[in-house]
Order: sequence, then structure tokens, then C-alpha cells
Amino acid sequence: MLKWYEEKEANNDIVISSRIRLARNLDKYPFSSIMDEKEAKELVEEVKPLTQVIAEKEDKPYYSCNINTLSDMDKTAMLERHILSPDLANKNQPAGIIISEDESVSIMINEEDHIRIQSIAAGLNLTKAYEMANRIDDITNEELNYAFDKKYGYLTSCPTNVGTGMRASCMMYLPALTSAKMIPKLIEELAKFGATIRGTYGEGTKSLGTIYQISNQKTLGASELEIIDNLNRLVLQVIRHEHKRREYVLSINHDELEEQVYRAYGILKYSRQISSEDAMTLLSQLKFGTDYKLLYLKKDLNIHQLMMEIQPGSIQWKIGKTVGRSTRNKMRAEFIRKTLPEIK
Amino acid sequence: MICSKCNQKEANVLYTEIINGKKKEQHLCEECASKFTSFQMENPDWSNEFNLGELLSSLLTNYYKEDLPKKNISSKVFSCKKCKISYEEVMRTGRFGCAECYTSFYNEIGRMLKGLQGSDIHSGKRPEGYKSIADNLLEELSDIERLEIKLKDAVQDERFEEAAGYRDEILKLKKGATNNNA
Repeated sequence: MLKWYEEKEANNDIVISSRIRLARNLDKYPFSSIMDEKEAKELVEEVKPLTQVIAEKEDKPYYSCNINTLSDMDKTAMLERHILSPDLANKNQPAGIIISEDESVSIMINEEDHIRIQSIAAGLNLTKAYEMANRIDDITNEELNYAFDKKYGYLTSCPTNVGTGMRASCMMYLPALTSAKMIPKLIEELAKFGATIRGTYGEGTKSLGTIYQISNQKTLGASELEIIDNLNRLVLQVIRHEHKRREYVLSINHDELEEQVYRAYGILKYSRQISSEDAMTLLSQLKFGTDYKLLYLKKDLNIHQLMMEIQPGSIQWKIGKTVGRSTRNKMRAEFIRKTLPEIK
Repeated sequence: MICSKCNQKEANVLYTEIINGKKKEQHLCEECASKFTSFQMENPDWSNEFNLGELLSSLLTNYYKEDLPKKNISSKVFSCKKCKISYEEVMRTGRFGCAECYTSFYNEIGRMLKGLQGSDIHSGKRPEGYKSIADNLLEELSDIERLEIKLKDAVQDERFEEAAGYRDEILKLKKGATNNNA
């Protein structure tokens, strides 16, 4: 069993990624909800040249595109990688996206707000994600005038975002708390401290592979750094609970868990057809096993990356065309078989 | 109806194909449909999200209704001066129409935001170079006026030594001003 000191760096095992989103609007246009086609087009055309400016100032490649030029397959794949939001993918007005080559920063144009800056950092690192988003926000504000009010801060289409316009969130892998059915309790507890917990793909989605998003609920009143600090503290608490629960589960069920992990590996390594839900559950079990040294792989495997790559959209994207479910299930099984390293 | 491909399972997908103007209909089961067509049963339903607008507007409307008998608001329709969206529309959808709405509905939204956010004053980042009203007022003050405010504060807090210092500085500045004028 893993010792406490060996776990020092293990927060990455629980917090997969940290994300910051800033909602901004330009003062010259009405909000996206009542914008007409012409205004939406103007907005996209006005914001898109930012791509070059940001690329130069940040000294790394950025790309932009119009949403309507993307195929449904592209959109689904981008949704699964959290680059696009469902709102933007389903928009039937001109809309666009600016994205850094490494996909760590994306700027959605004409989503619920005119501009949504999103940045993502690996592991528990909200500060790093905020610094990135904040820099992009400053550059954007040099070029474009924001709607800002002295009392209410950054004005947004929905009053739940007004003020800082910031949503900070951590994607967390919580298998032990999930199997102990402690998530509803966690939701209740977090709500008391102004945080919410949602499914893997945000609001209204269910959790896949016991992955959840924890984020701040309020955007007005506290400063950005206060919000981040508060969320950080809550996330550390959740990590502690998850660790404690894992230790407990391992201490009483070591053999059963070992069996489960090896079975998961066996199915993943040898199956010929597999649905994304099944694969997510099994990969989640495998991750638990490798994190807790119940099973050793010959090569390092980024299980979270694999989880994204086996989603329906990403599988189709690999094939290069839209295919039915059974074909996808076969392709998925083949891809996993090839990717999974041997057991030591 | 039984699936026309496998002739075994219950058909629950009606698949219509139009090729060169010729229409062909097939009744298929879920499995055959995903095998032989691009029809996707497991398509993740991104659009079926929990509707925040509905929840929000129910929250907002409660505030609104609560207010009615107390303040005796007349039934006149509020709307935003700029985008013309009505207050009721904002309530119903949970979305403002434009930045100006925050000013047009100023009296209505303060309490709503406090209920929703626990605060109605932003204390975070400001656009670079943005000056608040307080900043502008402070900038317009002369050095003497600024010192007088500090003097008043010091006297009020009974920091008399500090106050004496401000008093001397003010006298010196005033003297300098009269000397220059002479």
C-alpha cells in the first residue's frame, strides 16, 4: 500500500485539470441572446483578428475558425476535449473560436457572452490557469472595449456570471467517494461553501468514469484570487476525503480491488467491441489500480488522455467519417488494445 | 413491427433514404440501424441540458412577486432604454439584453443579485486604466483639499499629533499660494 509520503505528488492522480473561464462582453453590441445575424457576424469579424495579436504577444501559435465551417464530427470531438461548449457547438448564428496550438487556451466568440476566455492547466493549478486567462484578458481588453460597470463589474448576459465573470473549476477523479455513495453528501457540503459539483462535461451532464467538475458558484463580491483561494481549499478537502476513503477501501478490500483492477485490464486488453461507457468505467478502475500500485504497466500511460480519445466523436475523428455505433465500438476496442501497455 | 434487416428484433427506427429522388423506407431495429446506417443511438445529447434560465427566472419571479404588494408597483411595463427588452422578458429567460439593461433595471436588480450572488458589489479585477467615480473625485481634488480630508479623519480618530502635521502642511501650502500671488 502507498505511504503518505509517497503520495505527496499524487494530487495529480485526483485532480486531472484546473480550468478558468472568464465571461466578457463588448459594450457596443447587444448581448448574444438578442443579437441579430448581422451583428453576430460583425462581432465575430471584429474579434477574430485578435488571433494574430495574441499569438505575437504570447509567442506561440494560435488559430481561429468559424463554427459553421466545422463538421458535426469535428464539433463532437472538440466538445469531448473541452475546447468547445455545447452552447457554442449548437449555435445557429455566426460564432467562432480562437485556440492555442496546445489547446490550453481557447476563446469562444458569441457563445452566451460575446467572449469567453478559457484556460486549462494540468493537475491542481488554478493560479497558473488564471494567470494565462488573465493575460489573454488584458491583451483582449487593449484591442476591444468591454462592458464594465463600476458597481457590478464585468456585465454578462446571465446574472449568475456578473462581476468577475469567472468560473474556476477542477476536474476530479473520485472513484472511492463515488463507490461509497458519498457524492450526494459532497454536493450538499460544497453548496454551503458556494461551490458546485457537476458531471464530466459540465452542467447537466452525468459523470463518466467517476470524473466530476467542482467549481465556484458565485461570481460577484469576492475578487478573482479570493474565489480561487476558496475553491482551492475546498478541492484540497475533497482530495483528503478521497484519499482517506481509498485507504479505507484498500485496507478492507485489498484482494477484491486487485481482482477488479486485473479484470478491468483483461477486458480492456482483449475485448473486440466496447461502448464508451463501459470503457470509461473500466479505465477508471484501471487508473485506480495503477495509482495504488495494485498493477504495474510496462510503460507509463496517461489514462485521462486515453479516456478523451475513446469518446464517440474522437473515435470517429480518427476514422475520418461518421460511422454507426457498432463500428465505433469495434474501432474503440482496437484502439484501446493497441494503446494499453503490457503488464509488468 | 419486426426489423426488415435481421427479421428478428422489434423495429423502432424508421430509416428513410432518398437517392436520386427515389424514396425508400426501412423499418429497422436499433442494432441494425447503427450497423447499416449512420444513425446513432448513443449520440450524446448535448442539447438536453438542465435549463438554468427556467430555474433562474423562477427565482427572480419570486422576488418580483414578493415585491408587488409591499411596494405596490404599478402594472406599467419596464423596458431597457437601449435594447427595449422588457423586465418581464429578462425574468422569464434569465438573460439580460444588453449592458445598458443593468442601468435601466438598476432599482430592480440590486436585491435580486444580492439574493443570487450574496453581494451586489464587484470587488475584483477592473479593465486596465479604468477609473471609478471615487478615483475621479480624488484626482480632481487639490493638494490642500486632500490634506484637509486627512486632517478631518485624523481629528475624528483622535490622532492629534498626525492632525497637527497636516495642519502645518496646509498652512505652508496656503502661505506659499498667497506669496506666489503677491
